[in-house]
Amino acid sequence: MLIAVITLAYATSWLVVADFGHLTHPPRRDDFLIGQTLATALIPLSILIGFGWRRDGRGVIALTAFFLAALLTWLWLK
Amino acid sequence: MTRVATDTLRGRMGWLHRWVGFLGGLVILVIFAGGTLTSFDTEIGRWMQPEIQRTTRIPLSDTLVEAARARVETLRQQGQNASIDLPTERDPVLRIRYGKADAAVKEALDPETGDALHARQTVGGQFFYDLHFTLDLGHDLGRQVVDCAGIALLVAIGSGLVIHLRSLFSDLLIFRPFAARPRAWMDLHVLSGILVLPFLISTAYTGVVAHSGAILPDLRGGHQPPEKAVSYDIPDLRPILAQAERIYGPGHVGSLLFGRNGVTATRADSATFLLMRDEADFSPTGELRRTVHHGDAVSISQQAFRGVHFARWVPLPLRWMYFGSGLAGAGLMTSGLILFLLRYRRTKEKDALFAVAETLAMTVILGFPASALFLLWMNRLLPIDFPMRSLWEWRSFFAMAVTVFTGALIGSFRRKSLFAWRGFLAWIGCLGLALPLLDSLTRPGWTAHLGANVFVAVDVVAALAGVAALYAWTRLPPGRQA
Amino acid sequence: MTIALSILLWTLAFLAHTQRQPRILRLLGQHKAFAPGILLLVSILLPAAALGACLAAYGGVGLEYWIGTMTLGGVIAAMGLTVQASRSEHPSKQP
Repeated sequence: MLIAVITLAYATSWLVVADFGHLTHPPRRDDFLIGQTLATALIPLSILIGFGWRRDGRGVIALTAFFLAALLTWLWLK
Repeated sequence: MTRVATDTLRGRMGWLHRWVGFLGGLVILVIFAGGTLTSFDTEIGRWMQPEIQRTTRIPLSDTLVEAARARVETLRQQGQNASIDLPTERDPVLRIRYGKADAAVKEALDPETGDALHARQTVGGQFFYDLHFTLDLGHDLGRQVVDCAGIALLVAIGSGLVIHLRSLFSDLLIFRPFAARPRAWMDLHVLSGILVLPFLISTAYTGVVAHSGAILPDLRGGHQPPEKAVSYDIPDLRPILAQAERIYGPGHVGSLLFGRNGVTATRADSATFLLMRDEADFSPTGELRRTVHHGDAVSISQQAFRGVHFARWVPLPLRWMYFGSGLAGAGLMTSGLILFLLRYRRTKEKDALFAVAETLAMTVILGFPASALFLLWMNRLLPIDFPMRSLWEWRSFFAMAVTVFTGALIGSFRRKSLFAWRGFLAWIGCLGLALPLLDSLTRPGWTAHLGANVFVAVDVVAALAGVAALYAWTRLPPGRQA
Repeated sequence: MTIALSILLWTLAFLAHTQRQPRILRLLGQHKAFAPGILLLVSILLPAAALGACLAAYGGVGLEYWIGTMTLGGVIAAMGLTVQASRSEHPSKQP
């Protein structure tokens, strides 16, 4: 469970930074910095929420939804 | 472990805190202790070069600037990439820096004559800085591991807050050192955690943000292609310095870098709270070409994060507060690791995994102070002209760490861990308490520097570490477990 | 000077806070808090005064001094409480 939560939290945060980084063409360093700053807070928060909300695996479901949203945004921006 | 019984938010957070705290804590304690010493990296570096006894900065003389220029010119002709670090309040001598970034030589020049001071080669306080942010695993892998540990620390802080939220205010400041051992350690854990909570969160977060490019997407290849190299003789540096001081303020020029087609003067990191890294570029003939200042909102917020974490701007009283908070944070982590061992000792003591856990905990809790003190000892015991001196200092640190690991391993697996705990505590006590004596015997002219200076400060802190270790040794009499 | 003042204010604020907590009072062998309303006010106002002093003396970076002095004030207050509790003969201080 913990590994699933950590993996999802990290993958989501990775995509969030990638989303920010591809807001403009060509990519700007500032956008990456904003994404990194947010993602640094997002990873531990996601792990706490995902793991703390474990009953029925709802935490993982919520994180998966968040991950998919980040992935779709990234694909759209790319 | 039965999860059914603990399937509450507090129970789940307790499990998360215990395991992330222990596994992460083994790494985080080394990072944190290294960072705590890094608060005084420059001062420790000065202690490790007792040949340089100047304690206050004096204005740069023309002789010194010309000597520095000539030295850099010579090094460049030898194919070295040299730069000049100007004197600061914390390090009052001009230094010529050259060599590899992770093993740079910082040659000090006499402020009056400009002659090389022939100080011993040493890893200096820079060693603890490198250990803090790379764990000596290399620039990329090291930063990745440290970033992950930083995130583990944030998770541990968050889960710890959820666990103790209910009694956070009602039990604030309760500390019962003479109560039962687990209660006393828990009190220390919670007390130190609460008192350094803002420091802990801010340093962990800003530290991860500062190097987040190591584990998160980063803009690569975004830099402009390097400008065409121009062969040039280094110009007179006095007008460049004067011009740079007009831009940054007197005494606020940090370094002079000699690039492919000109000289760059940087703003000193200690000049402002924001760690700006502003630059003024000069042509090979010494004319100001441009100044680089990052003043947009994103840059300022990054500079503020770095300003908080790197603490290059902080005056001495606040630097001691950083150091004290770092020590309290290390106390928090140490007590957390010991609480983990206490929890499982009764039921799992015969398990090999418990022996591994105790070995690792003992290695980081006692291995770090033993190795740090041993490094200071070797800095004074190795002859000044010893070949590859810095490398041998580096080896001595890790040799001591391996020694503690081996002792802890044997003690834990032979179920004589108490013997190992006590033995290494006594060893740290001896190393710490005797360091002032070693300093007085190996530092030329030590009686001339009996006031408040870096030598006395390092000696006193080492002696206090020794006293603390011996006090712990007395609290751990034979027959009792940690 | 400001640092010493801020440490003092934090120490007093922490002590005022602890004097309102029944668990800590039991540990100290006391039974009832003296004027809890005033103590609450003191434990809120003194840190605010310390923050004001730090900001006035050091500007924006005064926040760092405020946080640093909080740690020191907390350590001093905790040491005082520990000594007081260890002197108390009250049975509730036992583990």
